Amino acid sequence: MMRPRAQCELPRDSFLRRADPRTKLFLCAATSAAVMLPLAHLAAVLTAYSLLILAARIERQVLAQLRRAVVLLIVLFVADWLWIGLDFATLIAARLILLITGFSLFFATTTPDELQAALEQMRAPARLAFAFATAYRFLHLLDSEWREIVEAQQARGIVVPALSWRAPRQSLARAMAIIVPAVVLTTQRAWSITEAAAARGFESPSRRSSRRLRLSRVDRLLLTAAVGVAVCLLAYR
Amino acid sequence: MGTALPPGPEPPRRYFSLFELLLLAMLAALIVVANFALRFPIRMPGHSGVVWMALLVTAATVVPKRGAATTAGCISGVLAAFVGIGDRGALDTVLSYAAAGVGVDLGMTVLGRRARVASCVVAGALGNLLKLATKVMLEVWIGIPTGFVLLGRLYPAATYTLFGLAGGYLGFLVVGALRRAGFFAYVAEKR
Amino acid sequence: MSRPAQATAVIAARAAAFRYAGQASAVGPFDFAAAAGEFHLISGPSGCGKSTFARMLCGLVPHLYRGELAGQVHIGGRSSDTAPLWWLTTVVGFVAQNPRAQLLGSTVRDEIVFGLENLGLSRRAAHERLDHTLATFGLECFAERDPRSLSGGEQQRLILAAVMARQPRALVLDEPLAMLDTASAMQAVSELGALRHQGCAITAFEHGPALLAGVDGLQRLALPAAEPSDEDFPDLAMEVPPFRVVVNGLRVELGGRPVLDGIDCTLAGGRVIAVVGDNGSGKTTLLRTLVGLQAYTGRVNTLASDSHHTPRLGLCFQNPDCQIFNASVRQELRFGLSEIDEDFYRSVVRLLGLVRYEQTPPLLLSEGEKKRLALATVLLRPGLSGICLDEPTLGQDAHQRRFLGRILKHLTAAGYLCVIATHDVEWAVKWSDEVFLLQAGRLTTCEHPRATLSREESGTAVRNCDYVPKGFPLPPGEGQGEGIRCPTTSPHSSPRFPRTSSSGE
Repeated sequence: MMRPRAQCELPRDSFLRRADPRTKLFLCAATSAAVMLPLAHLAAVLTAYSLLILAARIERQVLAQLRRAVVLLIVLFVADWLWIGLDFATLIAARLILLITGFSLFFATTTPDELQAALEQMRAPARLAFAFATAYRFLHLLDSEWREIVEAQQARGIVVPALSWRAPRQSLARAMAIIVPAVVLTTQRAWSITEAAAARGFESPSRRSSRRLRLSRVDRLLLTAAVGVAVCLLAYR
Repeated sequence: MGTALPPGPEPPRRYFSLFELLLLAMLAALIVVANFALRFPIRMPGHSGVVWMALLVTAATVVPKRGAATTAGCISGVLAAFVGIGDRGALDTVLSYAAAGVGVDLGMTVLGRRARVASCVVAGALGNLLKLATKVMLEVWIGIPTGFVLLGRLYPAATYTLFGLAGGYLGFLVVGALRRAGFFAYVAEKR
Repeated sequence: MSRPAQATAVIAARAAAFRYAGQASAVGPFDFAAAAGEFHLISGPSGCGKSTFARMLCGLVPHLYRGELAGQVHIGGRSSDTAPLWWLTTVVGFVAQNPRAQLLGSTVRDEIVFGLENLGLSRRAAHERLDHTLATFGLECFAERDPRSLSGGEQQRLILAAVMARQPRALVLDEPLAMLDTASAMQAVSELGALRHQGCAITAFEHGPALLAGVDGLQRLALPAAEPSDEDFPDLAMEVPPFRVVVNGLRVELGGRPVLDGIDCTLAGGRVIAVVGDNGSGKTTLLRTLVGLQAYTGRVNTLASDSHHTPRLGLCFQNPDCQIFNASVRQELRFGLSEIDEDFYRSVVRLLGLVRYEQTPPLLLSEGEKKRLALATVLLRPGLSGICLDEPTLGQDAHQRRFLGRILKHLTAAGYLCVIATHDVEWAVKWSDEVFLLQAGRLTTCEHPRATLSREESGTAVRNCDYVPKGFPLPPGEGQGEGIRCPTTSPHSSPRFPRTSSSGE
């Protein structure tokens, strides 16, 4: 069964949980942009980012992310070392690590509701933010409906999901036995939500979002630190 | 009883109606669910594209407007990042699945949205290939020599194309089944 | 139906009809008017246009549906087709049938705030309105909870609160009691009565008006429709040898919580057994256990008189759309069957009234027809001796419920075991041979349910726990009915189910 990461792995005592999602988005974007820096500067960014990860207590999630890419990292490192040199191999490995983990900070410490609020305050269309948040809220329900469909089809003697390349036709038929009812149920859900939202005046021109995000001391501290690091890196180019 | 709001204007016509937007978002969520639920016995590069492209093609046909697959792709990418799909990090996940949506939209726009075999199959292949292309571009961006990258991607390019074609074909079959089962008549009544 | 429109009416419809895009015939015409403080009940069989009419009265038709609106519908003094939908919803609130499908927020608080945001209130005014609504509807202790963790009755109450927080002058409800058990439904009815006394014009659409019949000053209207005649049923071309399912010490835990706790019972072929209980009492879990879809501890043994026969049970899920994906009813029925006994196939199709729909796309069937199609697909599986149905009467009108009861009697006449999970006590008592009552994971069995209800002192937890709606007709002359095989648990003495029960199925 699917377990949304943001819901089950959010560290409750992480100070980044209190930070504004826009701040975290900015930090992650800045970190990802830093991949183009030379090795010395990259090392500084990586160090600062690692300290942030440790302070936010999300090192387990980040390491889990890296573990999935460990084979790729090793292969690239060895290949670059052999063909070009150790410095280059280290640079590429460092950049890849930053690229892989750059947005972990955001997705591990932000709920979709907070993302919805941030989108609305960044003047994204409210309907888009609402649609995204609704989709996330219904992930579990769609998951359990999927399992119900599988059981219902199994109750009819349709063996699912035994997909096999040796029997492509039967596999396609079995996949359709699940996907088609799933699309129908999903569409019915989408329509019920549309009616419910419209019946509560969703597209009113006088709509005022109740979600107000304000930059706190933690946000100002983080943004100041980020700017400080950027200035130092530029100064010591 | 009653909130006295002055009767104001009708809200402006949007490109996607609220129902279409919610439908695309929910189909994007279904893509994420299906990615966990439908497992293939052979773990070749791009195999997840079979289901992903099938549902993107379905989304592009159910909401037959330009940008439908792109919207579903973007939302599915962000949702996938939230639930931890992808082994190259969240940025790679978001960008590559968004690109897949763009690819499907491109294919459907060029070849027509009428859910013919050719347009669905080509759209699926294009979507899955654009997903791979995004990964390639990210690798080039971080400085991996282009030749290196391209050499290592010859085999994945073939499998991504194959799975994209399969996904497009599955999407075509799904849309056909939906049409015959009366689904589009149900949707046609709704704004 | 005709009722002159009134100048003071909040909602007024005159010769209002709606033809869906691509359809030849229109729904309507209707005449209707609802003034402040009135409570209207509009009833009618399936397919008579209740849902369309409900949506016309709150503006969802024609704003959200493609088609042509004829006649006039005025809401708050403005024509519904020219006024913007967002404004119409400030005058009329709408509550649909399934509360779960209308949840929009991550918390109970967010659910209520959603509608308030669209009113353009200042934050202070919105907070005051929110606090007042939470208090009025008894939801303060749930404020931070996920609405999906609430019971069906609590969710319905939440939706009502979310709509009424906007203080509309009228409320339209499309089958608001269909998904609720009796206790929750009676609670909902009293809440609606209170809103009506505050001046709201209430219009409820329902199949069976029994629970609303006692409302003070209720005005009833019936939508005309041709009442289908009861069909003759053919004999099923199948005989199931006698068998029994014996359950001992059955225990099922879900999420660390015991849903079924020490169930002992025997289910015999050739009988209709109804499993009744609150939402969340474990009815669906029991069915899933009987068909082998649920892990359990204890014993579930099947004993057959014919040693060559291994009895198996099939399950019909609550939502028939879980199974439908083929181009026609005929293809749906035959999908996945390598060998088909044509005589049996024809007898099943005729029994379930699907002959005329064989070439129809399944998604275009009505809900009742889809449920019968789902039942047929399970029945056609080879080697089946019994069938479990999960809430088959949900949302069905009197004719469909009667039709289902007759089908089940025909199946049991052929030796099938039919186990039905339902919160429709009236239907269960009328059509079943035995009633199993599930409460807090424990089972009470009541044989001869019609006789049981007549005994005042019967440990019928059925009566003590308010399952029987007030005014339920007792069978005449059955004051000294047979003894009942129950209960080992003491009768439940509290008159109502606790309000804070949570769904656990």
